Amino acid sequence: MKKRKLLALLLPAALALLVWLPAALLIGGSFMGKAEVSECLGPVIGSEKGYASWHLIPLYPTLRPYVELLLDSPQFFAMFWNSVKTVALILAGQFLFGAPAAWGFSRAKGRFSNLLFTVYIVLMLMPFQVTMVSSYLVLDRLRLLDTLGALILPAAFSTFPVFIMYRFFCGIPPEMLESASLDGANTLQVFLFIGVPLGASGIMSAMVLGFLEYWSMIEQPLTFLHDKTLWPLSLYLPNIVADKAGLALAASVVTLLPAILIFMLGQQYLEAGIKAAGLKE
Amino acid sequence: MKQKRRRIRGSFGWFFFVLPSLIGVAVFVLVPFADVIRRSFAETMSGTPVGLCNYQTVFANRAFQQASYNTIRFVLICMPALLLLSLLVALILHGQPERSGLFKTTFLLPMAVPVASVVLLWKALFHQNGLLSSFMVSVGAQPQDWMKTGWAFWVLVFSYIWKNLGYDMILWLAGLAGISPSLYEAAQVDGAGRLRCFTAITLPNLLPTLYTITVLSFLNSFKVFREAYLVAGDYPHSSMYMLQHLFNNWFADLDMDKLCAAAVVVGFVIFLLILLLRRAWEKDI
Amino acid sequence: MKQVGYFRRLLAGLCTLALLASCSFAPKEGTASGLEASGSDASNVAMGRYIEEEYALPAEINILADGIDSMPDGRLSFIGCSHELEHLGPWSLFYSEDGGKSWEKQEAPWLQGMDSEVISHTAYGADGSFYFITQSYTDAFQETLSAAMQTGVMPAPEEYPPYILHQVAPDGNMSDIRIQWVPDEDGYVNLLALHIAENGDIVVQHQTSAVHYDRQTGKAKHTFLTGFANYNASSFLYDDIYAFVTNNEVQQYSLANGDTLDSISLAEGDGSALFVPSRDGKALYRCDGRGIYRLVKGGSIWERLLDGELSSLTLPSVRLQSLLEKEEGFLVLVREEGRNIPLSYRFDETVPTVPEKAFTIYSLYENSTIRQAAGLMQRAHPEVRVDYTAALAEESGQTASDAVRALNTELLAGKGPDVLLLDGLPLQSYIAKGVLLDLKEAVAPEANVLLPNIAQAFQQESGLLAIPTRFAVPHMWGKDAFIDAAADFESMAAYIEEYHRQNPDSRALLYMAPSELMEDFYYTCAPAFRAQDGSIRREEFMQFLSGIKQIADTGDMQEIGYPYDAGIRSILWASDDGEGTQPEILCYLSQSMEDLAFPDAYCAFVGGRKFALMAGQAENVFVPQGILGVNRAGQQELAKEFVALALSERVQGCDFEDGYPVRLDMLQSLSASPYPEGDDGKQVQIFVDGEEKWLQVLWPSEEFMQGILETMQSLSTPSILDPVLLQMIVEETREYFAGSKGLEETADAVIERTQAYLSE
Repeated sequence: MKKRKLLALLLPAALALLVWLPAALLIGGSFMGKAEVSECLGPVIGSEKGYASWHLIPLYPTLRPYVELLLDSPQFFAMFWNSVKTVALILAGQFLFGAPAAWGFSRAKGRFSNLLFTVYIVLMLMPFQVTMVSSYLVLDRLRLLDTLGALILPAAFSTFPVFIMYRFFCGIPPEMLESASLDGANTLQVFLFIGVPLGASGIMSAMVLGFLEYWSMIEQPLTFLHDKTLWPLSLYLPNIVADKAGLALAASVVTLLPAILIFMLGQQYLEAGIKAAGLKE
Repeated sequence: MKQKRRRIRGSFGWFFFVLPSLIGVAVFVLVPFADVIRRSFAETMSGTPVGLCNYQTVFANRAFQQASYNTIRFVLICMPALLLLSLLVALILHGQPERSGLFKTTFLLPMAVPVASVVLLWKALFHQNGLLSSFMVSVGAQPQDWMKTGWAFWVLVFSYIWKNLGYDMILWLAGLAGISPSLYEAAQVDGAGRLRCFTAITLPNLLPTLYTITVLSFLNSFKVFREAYLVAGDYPHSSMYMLQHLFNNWFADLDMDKLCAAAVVVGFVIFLLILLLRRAWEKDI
Repeated sequence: MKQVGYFRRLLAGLCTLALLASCSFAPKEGTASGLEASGSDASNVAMGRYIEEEYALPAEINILADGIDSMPDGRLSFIGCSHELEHLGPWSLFYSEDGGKSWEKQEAPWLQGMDSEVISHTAYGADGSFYFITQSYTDAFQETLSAAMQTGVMPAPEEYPPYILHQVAPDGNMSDIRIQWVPDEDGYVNLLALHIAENGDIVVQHQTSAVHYDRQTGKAKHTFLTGFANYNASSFLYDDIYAFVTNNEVQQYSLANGDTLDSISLAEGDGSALFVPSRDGKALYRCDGRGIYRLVKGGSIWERLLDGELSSLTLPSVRLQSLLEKEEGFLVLVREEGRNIPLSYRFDETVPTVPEKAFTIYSLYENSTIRQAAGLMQRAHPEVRVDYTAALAEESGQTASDAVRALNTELLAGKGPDVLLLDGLPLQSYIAKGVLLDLKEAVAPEANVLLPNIAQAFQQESGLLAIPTRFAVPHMWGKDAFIDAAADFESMAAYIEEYHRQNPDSRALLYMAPSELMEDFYYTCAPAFRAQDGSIRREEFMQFLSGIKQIADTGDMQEIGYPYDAGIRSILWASDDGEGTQPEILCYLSQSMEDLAFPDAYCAFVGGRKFALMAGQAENVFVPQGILGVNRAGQQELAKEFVALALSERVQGCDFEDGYPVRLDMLQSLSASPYPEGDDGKQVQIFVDGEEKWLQVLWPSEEFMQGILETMQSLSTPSILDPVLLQMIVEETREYFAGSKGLEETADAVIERTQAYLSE
């Protein structure tokens, strides 16, 4: 039995390697000096012939790209804080508006709510280019253009987190809710004290996904923000040119770190939530 | 008496929870979309209505046909692949929760990598002179220009699976965790084999999860456009040319009329799909 | 499990701390030198701006010995002569008491004997004495110099006449100061700038160092190793410190003891500006095309006092010469169109800092002609802020498509810039969608002077919706036999193939790789193989491909990758330095008359070579550039005025090497030789038959220029490069040129690949 279990792990292990490899390349590469990066990536960037190569562990590890990035590029930090501000506010908004909505949909019965929810899903699937101009016009009318609000508000009302949280709220056994309201709780209290804690895994999922999505948003700031001082981090990575590749790699890793942090902190809750939601009578 | 009051509250109370979100959605999402619908019936700059003219143009447009074909092909290939693969991995890991922590983190990693870095990686790997080519050469095979030939399509599929494997897997795991072990115990007592357990217990209970994951994966398949765009540009190899490329280019050419008409068509198709899916998989509603 | 969980949390916490900590290391905005307050918040008041006023120097003065000096008592002075080119006497001294507005000639008996002297540097001492440096250019020496130009060997350092430093005391007595000049590393004495210290000592900037000379002994007291100095590098004295400006820092040296002090670091590119210390010694000023900035001594932020875009400083036609601070404001000496113009800037508190109305001009890439027109527009309309933005000028995560989409969003929202430079933008779409205004009225005043074929390149039924402000011409030149045989593309390709068969070592063109060949020939062939609606014509396209293959097969298929260039570069490539084979023909896109002068001189010098329009499947091809369009939804009246300005003499007559003027009269005037009589033009080092020679480039003959003008008037086929299409063609034809795919198959593949693009 044990052997079979180990064997079975081969598949995930192989896949994990495949998945891990590009990320390792990225991290390893960020510690490479300029010369090494140009040497490795030269053929791809176009300056040299032959084939690209890579060293998982750099031959001449150096912290220079990081130093250059963190100490010599002031706009990096401005953009970093822009990203943090924007994403934090977006997630707050999604929780404030989205969680009640998801709760409402999960408790609702009837054709109308069904239809509304389906509309929500369809809206979620529209690619950005389609509604870009129209959104621009709306934001302009509301005087939100060239402010962070242009990024925050439409995202805070995104229907995507509603969808995720909805699924988890659906999984809460109705008996628990019945017993709560029998005890005298009104609908709001039921939501706050039972729904939210039990649906926490869903909420966390939505938050994590939301973070990842908005941490690397590109089209919205390009279109709605002309003032470059408001640009988020995702727009920092310059056109990858051979001599800037080292900087780009370091920037990528630094951009990556917060996302990893969120995982590490959030995974605990995620797992606990999954276990909790599994309690069915 | 008490029961009646509760039911009334139960029927409409939900609306108040949805209301704030609804207002925001109406302003920031519905209104723009309504504008798109309006524009689909009008001329780009002047706004004069032209009836169904735009729709006719769009359906007859060769670029639209090609892009639609590619998009459908992409979705039909990569989504089942992703679903199956992630389910498989989830099943394996579900059986061994102790070891699964590291795997989970690993698989979730790709989602965190910023898009521009992904592009850099793909360029390094899949360029004609990239790492994959050098690997092929070292094993004696022919190097290819991966991004500029039919292979580009598969690179995109790989990129999609690479990015989304983790999250789908987590969702499967969540769904699997929701199935009470007592069901399995009961089945084993009845003498059911592993396969029977799987088909009779696991699958049916996973249907709601399947619905979620399908919708999410569908959504994510649209997002793969950004990588494709940054690596291969506005006009990639014909096998990779998808609806978003078309929309992007129509927008760059100020062809809003065609863009909006096509968008409405796409939205409508998606709407139908979702309706069907809901009907098929959510029996309790 | 719990331990693992703890560990993870700890790690996460540490990472967070590290991130936050490193954030606090970030230099606060504004303390990094070079970071300027953006916009107009140099002062937080919305009122007050430096107003520009153009002064004039006395009409008879053409050359200034060493710019304009400010005297210790606040007056301004200069020494000038009336020659066009030569730095020789008779010299005159002028003073101005009103900050440069008016000048009066002064009696200066000591200047009388200086007719054959070159006065190269002037300066004032703290006591009001005037110092200047002369060099005697006798006729004998002039001859030595001319002889040297022929042989290419410069005279020895001893043969050069010595520099003599004179001092004129306030009472008018002149005396000489003996200085033992320190030669540079190459043995020559080069003086670049003269400064007089408080105690009368002389500080001189040489080519590779600066030397502090003791006034009494004439010997060097301290030597400051500044590194190589450009001829226009700024240097100045303040507070017993000698400052020298390099590309990225201001070096400082102590005059008291010769020590090297801390330098002030500059942002990249700031070093080429003009620098001057303030009169009270408490600040430093910097002036370049972006404006006038001030750095308080000991501070680290450059505060912007004047926005260059609201002045003439930003005009590409203006060359900054010197900057000085007056009693009220600044005086910037500039050179425009061969004239020295002092520009005075005075602070006016009653004027709003930034005009409220804005007039926007948009382009993807920076364009000098448009920048010039924008500057002139600003001069004519000080009540409006003329804002010229080049969307892709700075590096950012933005691609050209992103920029176009951002622009389109604005256009669709009914806004957008007032004037568009359509190079690189979807011109045809804008025309088709009615975004642009009919320019007939705007163009009307100049209509009869414009080259009709070129000006009307974009004439539609709905009107003249876009107009090029410049154009380029595909040219080629090379051996007679080739040019004669290359009447059109097919015969050229056939001849090259045949010639190569007989001379296997020859090289037909410079760029021989298929991708580069296709780009070279795109201009002259595309109008033939592309139909009116943009789709590809199969027959003609196959001819194009097979022609390219014929040519490419004679070469080694290696991409050179150097940027395409015209003029000088083409002759450099034509010469055989023994390393590669000399191409028989060179093709390029000519952008200015200079691009014709160099090849013509080469042809005449080496002989047996001709100059002609580039061969192609189409004829009489020109490339429209700087295409202007006016946004219907913008400020139409101002925009029409701008278009007229861009087509006017003042703008068209400037040569920014970004295309020929579209006006016939300006074309004619630019075709005349810019060199006065006796000038020896430019010299270029070339190789002929393996030997190094100096080629003297003057100007082509009148006959030749006449011929060129006639040709230009007959150009009628516009051709714009479509980089997307070209890229697709290059990719799909790779196998064909490698020999592994057939012609018909390839042509079909290309047509299929481009289908989506063309049918969008």
